[in-house]
Amino acid sequence: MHGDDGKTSADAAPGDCWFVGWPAEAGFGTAMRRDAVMLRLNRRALLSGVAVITGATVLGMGTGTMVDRIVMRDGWVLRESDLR
Amino acid sequence: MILDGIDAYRDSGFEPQVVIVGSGPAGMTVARRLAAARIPCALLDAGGTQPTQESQAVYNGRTIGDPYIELNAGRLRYLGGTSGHWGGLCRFLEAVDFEQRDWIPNSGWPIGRDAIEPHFGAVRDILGLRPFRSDEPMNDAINWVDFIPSEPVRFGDKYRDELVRSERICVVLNTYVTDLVAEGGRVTAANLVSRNQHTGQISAPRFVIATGGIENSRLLLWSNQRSPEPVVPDATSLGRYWMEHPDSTVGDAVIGRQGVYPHERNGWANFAPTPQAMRQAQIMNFRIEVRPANRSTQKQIMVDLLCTAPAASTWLSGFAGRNLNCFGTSIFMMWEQSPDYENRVALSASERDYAGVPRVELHWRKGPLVRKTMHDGARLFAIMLAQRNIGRMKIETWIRDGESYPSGQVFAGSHHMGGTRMNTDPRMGVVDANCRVHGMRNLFVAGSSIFATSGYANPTATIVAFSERLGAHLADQIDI
Repeated sequence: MHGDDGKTSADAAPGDCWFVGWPAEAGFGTAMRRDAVMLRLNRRALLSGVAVITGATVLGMGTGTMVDRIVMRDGWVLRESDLR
Repeated sequence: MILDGIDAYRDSGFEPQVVIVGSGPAGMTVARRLAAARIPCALLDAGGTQPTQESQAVYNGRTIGDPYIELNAGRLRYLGGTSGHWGGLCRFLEAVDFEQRDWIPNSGWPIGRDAIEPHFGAVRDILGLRPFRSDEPMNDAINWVDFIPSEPVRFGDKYRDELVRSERICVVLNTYVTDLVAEGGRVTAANLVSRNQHTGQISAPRFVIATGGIENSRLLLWSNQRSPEPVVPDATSLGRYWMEHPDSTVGDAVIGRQGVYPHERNGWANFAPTPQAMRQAQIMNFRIEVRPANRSTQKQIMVDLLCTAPAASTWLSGFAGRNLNCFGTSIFMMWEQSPDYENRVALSASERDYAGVPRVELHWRKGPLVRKTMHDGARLFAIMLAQRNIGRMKIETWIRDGESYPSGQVFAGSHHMGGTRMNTDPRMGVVDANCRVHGMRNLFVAGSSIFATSGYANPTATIVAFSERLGAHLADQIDI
């Protein structure tokens, strides 16, 4: 009954958003590799500052914050963007 | 020929090489395969050409454990057997179902799927099926799978004329085989009741029992008590490892539009997990069936989604140009049950039918792996829908929150499997890889009672495949 973050849906308060685990675009077996790529991109962004972020955005590479994770809310298995 | 009662059979002078007990899909398929090889066989059935209440009453019994269907409701005792109310859904067991999977206790067969694949063509002819399409991956965890909703074959109707004309098959109706008699490692005779009278015995060089996924165990258990020598010499697993296909609606979903998955039929489609996903999640095999909901339910599902996730309207609006051709669906699941020694067909100590045969006590519980497969399987499917942006699924609250099964509901599909399972070890199974009872030279079993594992596929197509294989095996053994 555990989600991939170790938290059960039963632990969540009503209406809580429960993270299911996989980035929406990733394959079933590639989630961990995709998460590692995200962390590396974020670290680079912190070190290099706004210029790098702007550059990455211009180049269409700044996808670290745009990964649409799969979440659960009130039983619905959704994309995170469905809740924004 | 079709005869009514054992007296007519005796008068006929027919001399069978094989006596087959039970004229359902399994028994009739074995008989037809033998007849094609010019081997004479007697095909006995306890019922007549139509089901009757009196005949059905033999199936009355008691269930101990989880709520279950009345034992006289899920099967039919007449010519053609339970095919008389078969739904017609067809798919064979998958290759992975035959494998030993270390996370599923007692899994594994002594043969692979390749042992029955040569008989799939014959099964298609018998059941009127087109070839199955290959699985198509939806993501790494879920495949679209071909589940054929065939026109159900009523074996008693479809093959009656052929049986009437046959010189090799002698059908004997209203003849109840109550027990078998063994001597020197062989079955020598079967005791009979015909028209409520004990009417002696029938003998032949070989016997095949094909009385169904509960009755095969019952017949052998009672025979072991009655026969001077055991009919199943090592009865450790006789009646045991009995299985069902648990089933349930596991949620609702909004599907983006029709035509988003392969070979869809008006919104209906079936899906199953990949072997990799089963291994990774440590779950059993299952199928998900997407069923379009009725119009009022569809609206409720859409409203529920938009109340929970208002921004999902952005996703839904993507279909505006297609006349908002999205729809609400019900998500149905049917799945595998692990073989459990405690789930079993047993004989009642106090209740007997009109012929004096003890009634069935069926011990059946679903178990924790069944529950885990339902929860994790529904979740894998829901994730696939969202990942592929095909749809959004809501998982039933009681499943998501780990609550008890809803009371008063039966979670089973009237699919009776196991009890005389196939295994190379006589302590772990009743029949060997050729469906022969361990320790007996001339006794064979046909039907889903031989299943070592259940998979998720409705069993009829696989039953017919194994019966074709058994018929071919017997035909190879018999010189005429």
